Amino acid sequence: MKLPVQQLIWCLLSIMLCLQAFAQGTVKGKVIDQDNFEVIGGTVLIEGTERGAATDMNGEFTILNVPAGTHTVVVSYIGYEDARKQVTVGEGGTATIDFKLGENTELLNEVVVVGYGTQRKRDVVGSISKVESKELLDVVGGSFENVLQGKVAGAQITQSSGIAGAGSMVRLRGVSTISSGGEPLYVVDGIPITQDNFLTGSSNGQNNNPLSSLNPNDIESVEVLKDASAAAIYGSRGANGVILITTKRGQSGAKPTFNFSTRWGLSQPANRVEFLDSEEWLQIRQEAWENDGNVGRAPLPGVLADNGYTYESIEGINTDWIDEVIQTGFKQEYNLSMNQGGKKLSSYIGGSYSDAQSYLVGNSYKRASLRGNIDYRFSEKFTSSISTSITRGLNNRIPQAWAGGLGTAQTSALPIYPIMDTDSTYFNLYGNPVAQRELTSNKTREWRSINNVSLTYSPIKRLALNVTGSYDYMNIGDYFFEDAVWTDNQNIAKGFTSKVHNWSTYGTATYDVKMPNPDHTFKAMIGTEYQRSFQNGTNEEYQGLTDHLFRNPEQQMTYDTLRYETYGIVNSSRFFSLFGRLNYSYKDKFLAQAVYRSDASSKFGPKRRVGGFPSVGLGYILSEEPFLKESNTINFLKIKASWGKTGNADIPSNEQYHDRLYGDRIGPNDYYNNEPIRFERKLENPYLQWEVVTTYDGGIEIGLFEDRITAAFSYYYKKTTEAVIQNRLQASTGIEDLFFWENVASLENKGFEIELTTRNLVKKFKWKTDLNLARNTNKILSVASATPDALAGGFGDTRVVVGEPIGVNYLIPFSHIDAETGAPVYLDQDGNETFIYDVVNNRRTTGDIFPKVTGGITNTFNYKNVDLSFLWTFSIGGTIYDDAAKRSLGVVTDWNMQKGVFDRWREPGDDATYPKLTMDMTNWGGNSNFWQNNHSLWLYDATYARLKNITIGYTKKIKAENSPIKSYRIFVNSTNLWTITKYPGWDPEISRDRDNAQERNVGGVGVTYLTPPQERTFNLGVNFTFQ
Amino acid sequence: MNYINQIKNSFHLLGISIILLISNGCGEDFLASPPDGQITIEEFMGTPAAAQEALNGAYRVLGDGSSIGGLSWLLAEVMADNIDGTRITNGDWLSHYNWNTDIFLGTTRTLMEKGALVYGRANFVIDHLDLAVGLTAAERERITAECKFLRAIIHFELVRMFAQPYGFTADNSHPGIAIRTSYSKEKAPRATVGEVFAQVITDLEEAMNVLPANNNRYATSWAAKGYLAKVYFQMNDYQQAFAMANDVIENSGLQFDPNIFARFSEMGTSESVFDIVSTGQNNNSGGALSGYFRVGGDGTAQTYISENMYNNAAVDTTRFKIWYAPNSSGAITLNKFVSDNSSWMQVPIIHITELKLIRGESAAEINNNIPLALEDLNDIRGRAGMPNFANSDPIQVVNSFRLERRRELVAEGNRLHELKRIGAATERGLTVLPVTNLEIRGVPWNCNGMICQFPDSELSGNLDLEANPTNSDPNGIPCQ
Repeated sequence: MKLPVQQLIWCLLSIMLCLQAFAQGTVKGKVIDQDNFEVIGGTVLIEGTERGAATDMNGEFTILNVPAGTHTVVVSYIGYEDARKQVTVGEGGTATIDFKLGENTELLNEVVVVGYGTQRKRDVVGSISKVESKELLDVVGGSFENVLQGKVAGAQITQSSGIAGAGSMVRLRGVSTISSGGEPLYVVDGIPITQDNFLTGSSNGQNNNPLSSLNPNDIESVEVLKDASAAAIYGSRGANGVILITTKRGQSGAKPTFNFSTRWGLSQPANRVEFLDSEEWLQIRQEAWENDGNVGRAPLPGVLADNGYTYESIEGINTDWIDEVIQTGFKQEYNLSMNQGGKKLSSYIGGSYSDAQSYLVGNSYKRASLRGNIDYRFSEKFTSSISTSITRGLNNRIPQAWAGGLGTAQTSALPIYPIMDTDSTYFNLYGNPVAQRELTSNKTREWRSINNVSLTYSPIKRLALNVTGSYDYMNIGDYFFEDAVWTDNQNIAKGFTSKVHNWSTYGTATYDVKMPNPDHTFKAMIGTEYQRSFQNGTNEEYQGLTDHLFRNPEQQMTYDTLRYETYGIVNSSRFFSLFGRLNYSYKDKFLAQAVYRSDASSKFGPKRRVGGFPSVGLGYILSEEPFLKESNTINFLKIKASWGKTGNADIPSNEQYHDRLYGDRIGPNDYYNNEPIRFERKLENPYLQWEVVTTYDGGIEIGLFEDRITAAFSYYYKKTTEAVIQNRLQASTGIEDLFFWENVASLENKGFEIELTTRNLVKKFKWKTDLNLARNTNKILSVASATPDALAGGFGDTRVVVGEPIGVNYLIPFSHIDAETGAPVYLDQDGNETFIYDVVNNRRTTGDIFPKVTGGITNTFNYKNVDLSFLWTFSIGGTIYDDAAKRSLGVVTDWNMQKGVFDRWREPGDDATYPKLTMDMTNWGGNSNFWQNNHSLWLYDATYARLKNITIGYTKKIKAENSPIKSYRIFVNSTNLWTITKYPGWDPEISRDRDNAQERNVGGVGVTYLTPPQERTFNLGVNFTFQ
Repeated sequence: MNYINQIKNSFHLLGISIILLISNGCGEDFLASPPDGQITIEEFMGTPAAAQEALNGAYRVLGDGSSIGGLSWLLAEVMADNIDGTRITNGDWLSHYNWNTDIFLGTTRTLMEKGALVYGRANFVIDHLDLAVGLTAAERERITAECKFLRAIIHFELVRMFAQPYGFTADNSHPGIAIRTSYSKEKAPRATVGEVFAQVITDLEEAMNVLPANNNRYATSWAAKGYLAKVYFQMNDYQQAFAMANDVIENSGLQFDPNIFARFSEMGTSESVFDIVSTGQNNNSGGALSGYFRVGGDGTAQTYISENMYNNAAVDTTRFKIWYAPNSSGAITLNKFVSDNSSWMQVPIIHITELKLIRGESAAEINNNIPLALEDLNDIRGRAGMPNFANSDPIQVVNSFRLERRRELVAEGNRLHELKRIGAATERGLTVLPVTNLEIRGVPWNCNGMICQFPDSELSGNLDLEANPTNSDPNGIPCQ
């Protein structure tokens, strides 16, 4: 009964339209996805014309004024395969055509963000890995780069610790520098941002991580540029790779859609090492005392004796200090965002609040952020966009990781020490982690705002001119408050605030050249950029306050000022650049790209102001050739190769300059015989320049069985020349700054990366596996005349040795324990056994901290509305040096020790792991300084596999028109649930947060000194989408 | 590829030309971003006042107690037999006490770096003095000579700490330290001990010849002569030592101070030939010394005197009673520094007392003017509250001088070098009172560990630099 009525209406409509149109008709229809949900904001185009429309909230579209005839209609939508259908439109007629989109499995058709533009992934000749937004949301209140771990082939990402707000050490394709910064360049929506964790110096293992101020919920995608072809567009800053972060924008044609999500989580340490209790500790100490030839009971540690404690009075004291400093942390996060797109205006607005406690008592990171990304289209030719964000981070810090907190709890806070003295004051005030936590407070407050304005003008077809200006502002305040009990005087409040300003402006012109022969296409882009950044700040200190400075700023001046000083501009740098990119393709199968960038920067010495960075890439899509076109097996095959030079400009701004002190630059008490003084502190090097990394890259991308299997393989060779080293001058030169920065070293990295995705099951029950792995080999080619000790990795005895990989463990080789005497046996320089610990002559390479192979494997299962995924990350090879083991498993001192120490030599014939206990290092062949006990007994294999993430979720889309909720998702997940490793310490995943770039490169991973382990979390999350 | 090269080149050219344009347009190199307050060397050293300030900068490091008059004195005591090793808690000091310093010790690092800083700044002045517009020739000579004086005394101090003593080998060809006579980052090998001493003497002789007799508490010709006496005495060159010491005592006009406690005091002593100047609590050159030895309210100190030294000192009525005090736990504290209870003090590093000890002992060694030797000896003994010494047998006089030297110069960084001097003098047949098989706390005076290991900060800068043998290295003489 319905049909005739409908037909009648259609007829009438057709007639009316016929009357209006002039040989034109209308195409309309509806687009749904494979689950029969409306596709909102999909693009519908009449191929070969400029006619098109976007689908509305009901998934429907109408294209008016379509010339009569037969057309191909193409529907595209992010994440789905393009759908094509032919339709014939009569003059004045309306053709109806519906589409059902299939999920896009052909990943190679994705669009990827490259520097200053985008490209189809199939056209990319460089090495770029992309991570989508949904993969970044697993961690509550965390920093996005931590979540990239195991997802990007060739990215070695090591989270520094389980401390709240902690960042990661990120190294792309190995370490290609020695003394310069090794971190990639981070670019947010086209702006190179400030990401240095050490702008305010080192805070002992828990520095502010500027990346944590980016709300992962605001991120649309992350692209990682790894080779020279991809990164050369960033010239002198591209050598460590580039991480491009693109934030979400309003999708055109979308009615206001809201997304609310919330997550709650619990935090624990991923592992716990067992330490001695009181009875055990006294037993071990007594044994060492007697081994050393003493009789009677070992004297109690001085701090007990000094406070009148005796063996009798400490009986019954058994403090588990680790229990005192750890907890189950609670995390919560709330996000609300709106996304809308109209003809002129589209926008994304997102707000977020999170409060994430770690497992350390008193430690949490709170973040509140707001972002607005607005696009406005003035006309077809003229568009604009504004992006702005503001974030406030508040990090409640614990006392220094190793001087207090968990570090003290496992070392100098002994189980025989009480927390409180008998008179209800803290026992051993400055060595008591509970007292330190209660009586001191350290907070880092950060304000961050990243803003840009962009205008695009197309005066003629295919030409786009863009101008973008941006300002990245960061204000970090480190605040300390010390109670009067702690200072033994008045309350003291200190504040160290730093402001980092970073302006940049760039302009680009992009032109698509239309060739007479359509087989050839050219696309050209040229641009120029100027960037300026600097830092300034204030250091202040007052006494008599009742709380942190930033809590009552207006009052502070009324208190007793101990210090107030502002410091002028430091870390100032300017870059001025010109760049261009030319892309050529022939018949869509031969691809070529040339990139050139010229950078001039204040970071380079006056004799070396400008550097040029070229790259060339070639690609050949074989699957376009007739002999493969019909293949049932291979549906996509591309080979590619690239060469290029990139630079590393991450050298300190001031190292090219001398430092001369005189007048006001001299301290108030620095005079002699009541006369003023002046002196030169440091030499200049006007030849200091960028490092040059020449990269060769070759790769294959393949899709098999209609992309049921996709794989990418690439091989690279990177050679760093003009590598900067922080060379050492002989102390006897009499120059105050004995570090001299110069471009004299070279090194190489080579390796391969494999990315493999298989869709094992694709029916109702779906199973997908993503695997990536990378192998990198590093070798130091030359360091001029620098000695291993000149290029040290800081604590933990890693060094740079020519012919070896960067970051070798430079230790005295430990051989075995002498079964007769229990003494450690070392090897001398000739490999002969010796009892003598000879640090001058016998140290040598005993291991390499960097892993041979790193990677991740994700298995994802879907059944109806339920999904389940497991991410395993793995790291094979490399070493861990436990720099604290010399006291926690070695010489018996006033430190607590690991339970493992019971495996010690006791009598002739014993086959033990650890030597005969002693309190005197000279019994182990060394000198009396127990810190000088660095040998390979404390060296471990760093191989591990870790269940980084397991998530199970339920997603429901709601079709009912009247329901404001359009979809929701509930999930639970756990991070670091299970770790497989032979390392007996806290955690095999270690990166030490050091402010010295060379120490990060040479000893940044695989060396631990009481580093808190990663956290294990359990999380529950809910997302709602509503309109 | 040609095409690409062309693009490359044109971009590069374009880039450079635009940058040149802009930088010219702005006058200054617009990309230069030097730190605040940095000035050119011409501005920095361009006036006579600037030159004097730069020289003061060298003296200033001497005043921070990290070498002479501070750390080097402490370590020379700790490594010898004046200090109670059982009460040392500082790990670095213990390494010195046990003669097994290694290349990563903070103490040896400070000793060498801070010492070198004194002459580094001095060399900087010498190298840039031409820039001081308007500096008179006389001023230029005076400033240069002061720089050389500072350079010499530091080289002397460092070579004694980091190398076996003069006389350890017959020709003094054993390795010393790097000689630095210009401000440069160039690597330098270890010169021989003989070469280092020759350089020290050359510098001091120039200072002696050029410097005025009075110089507002800065180095004078007398200071250079006094130090030369000290250097020659260390070399067992008694003739020269006598001549230099005698010249200062007789002609400088400086008076032997009857008050023994004035030496390390706020007011200073009339017998100071050269002191490291202190001008107040905030500018106290004696801070390090008093830190090492000062006794706190609870009777504790960082360093205590050995029983051996204490017994040796317990012979007089004045000096001993005031300087030494056992505390409640039996530890022996030394009250030598800031004995006038001020919070700061002058630090004389060459004084008439020491020159009398040099002159007298030298006289006795060469049997020349024994009465003068006895006069010197009895001046010191008398001041300490001891009876006159009358035996004029040169051997007895030498013996008495050695005892008195130890007592008088306790904690002034003398003991280790004195024992080594006697060891070397014996070895080379240069003394009337040889001590065969001389030992320091039971180990040979010339064993490996008796000199400090070079710090890593010296070794790291020069791959070819020879390190000192380790304490137990069988190629030398192990300290056991």
